Amino acid sequence: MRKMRLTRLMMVGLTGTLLAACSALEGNVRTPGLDEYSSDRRRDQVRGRLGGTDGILIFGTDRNQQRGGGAGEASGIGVNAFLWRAALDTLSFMPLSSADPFGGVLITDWYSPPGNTSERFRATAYILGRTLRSDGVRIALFRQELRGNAWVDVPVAASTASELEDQVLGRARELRAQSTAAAR
Amino acid sequence: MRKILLGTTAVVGAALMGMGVAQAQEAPTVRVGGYFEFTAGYVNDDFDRPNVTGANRSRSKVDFRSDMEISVIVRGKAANGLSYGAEIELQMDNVTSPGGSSGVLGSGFIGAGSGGIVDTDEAWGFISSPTLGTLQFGDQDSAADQLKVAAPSVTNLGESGGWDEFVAIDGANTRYILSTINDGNDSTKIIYLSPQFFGFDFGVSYAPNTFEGENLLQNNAQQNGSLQRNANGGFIRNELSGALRYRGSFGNVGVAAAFSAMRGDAPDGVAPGFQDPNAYQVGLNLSAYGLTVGGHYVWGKFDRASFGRIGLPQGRDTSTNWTIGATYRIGAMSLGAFYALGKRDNGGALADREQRAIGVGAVYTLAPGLEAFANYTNVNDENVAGLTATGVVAANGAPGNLRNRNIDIFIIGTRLAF
Repeated sequence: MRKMRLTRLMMVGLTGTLLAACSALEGNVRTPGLDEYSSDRRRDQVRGRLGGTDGILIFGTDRNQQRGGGAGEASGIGVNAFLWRAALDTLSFMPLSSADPFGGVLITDWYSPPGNTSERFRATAYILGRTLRSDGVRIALFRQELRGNAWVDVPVAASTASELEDQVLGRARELRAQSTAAAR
Repeated sequence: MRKILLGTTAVVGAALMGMGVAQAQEAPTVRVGGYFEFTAGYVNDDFDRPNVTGANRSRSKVDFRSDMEISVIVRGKAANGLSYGAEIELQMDNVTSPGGSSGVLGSGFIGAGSGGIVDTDEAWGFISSPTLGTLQFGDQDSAADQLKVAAPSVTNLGESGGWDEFVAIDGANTRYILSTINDGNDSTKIIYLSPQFFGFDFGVSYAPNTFEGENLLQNNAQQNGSLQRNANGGFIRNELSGALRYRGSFGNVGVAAAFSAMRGDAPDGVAPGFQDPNAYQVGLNLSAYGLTVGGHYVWGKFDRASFGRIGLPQGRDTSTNWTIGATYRIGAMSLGAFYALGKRDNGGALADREQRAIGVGAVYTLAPGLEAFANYTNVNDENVAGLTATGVVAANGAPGNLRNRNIDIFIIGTRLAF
């Protein structure tokens, strides 16, 4: 009996370790960018670039320049304005706890969906820069369940956060389209 | 929105790879970049004196040089998240001899002459996955070089920095024996660079032989016998390189460390022939508050300045060299200093060659992409016997051979990158 309990405990521990390892891997595995390797090129040793961009664009769309009307400096906020407004719109169904437009951090308070008081959610959105890019927004989602009379952390599917990110990106796209249409 | 939340709450997410990253297709871009450099040098070199050159008067102490490179940079991202691209670099090169192999050290065609000829430097393509790493192919630096960690330096300062262009090549066909592990000479190769796991990443590369470019013949040869694949072509083959690197930070201190290695098959030669060359490098960099200190140590079966690019003559011992350096960045100014020492076996009963270099320099960033630099390097070379390019001991006393040599070089100039 005791042995069985021990085995069960070990299995729980193992599962927990695996889960922890998975979430640790998430932040610690990535492919380094090409500029993260040692380069003996004389061009690479120079700090910065004349003209501000890495080379002169002769074909394609310059994503570094996609700051859009009202995005960034002009509007007085530190991050891309389209992404910021889109994140506000998307998460507005939850009560806001903190919003920092300069650092690009949006934190909601706990929110329980109507009709289900035994679970609650909280979201943190990070706008990662001034440019309007698909990887410019990161959303972290937290979920808790009421067990007995205590809230317990429960994992959330990774896809949920990325679906929320897609919503934000979609909204940002709409906002940008509106703003370009207005500017014409 | 609520539907999304409710619909997915039951799922326990434990996806290992690629989660949370919003992928989007990016239309390819083509950019043109490059740099231009002007350098003025003042040289005080024992080898410039009449008793070495055989001329009536010493060489001039001042010379100017200009250099440039144009890069074509292609980048794109497919809908499945794979990045792809290519880089083609056109450089100013001082190729003076027909078929002169500027990329092959010790082949006797280094520098000099009218210069101003443009040829390709690196030319390569890549595919990169956010979870599986990067595959590069073409004329690109080896994995050992790309992942190496070396003593820190500022623009044009270093053990084989801007100074060496200004000094005469010695009897052993070298200017310096101080450097990092070789970069693979842009020989056409394939390179795999792994993802980073908890700060660690690794890479491997393979080159069938030491040649680059589209031609598979050696030096414009018309004969069936002179392919680059020849075992007796005089160049190394089957070059393998690899490296393991760590990058991370502890408190406010950034740490980078790496171990790099390479080896190749020596060419067949006249008896007693050559040993298979290899080279290893360990390097460490620590950085905090704008200050970076670090160093590297290189060892292996190589001689002169080849660092494993040519076969080591039989009977020679391994070579070593090491460098320590520090840089400090304060606003637009970067300051640097280094000390380097290298040793080479001269073969037989001859004493080892020993080269020491010490340098200090500064770089001022006038505007992003526009730098002014100035540095001073002192090189002391103790080499008792001159060696010909093939490693044979030359007649002592011939010009350029059997010399101890002291060099002072001061360079000042500007480099512009766009």
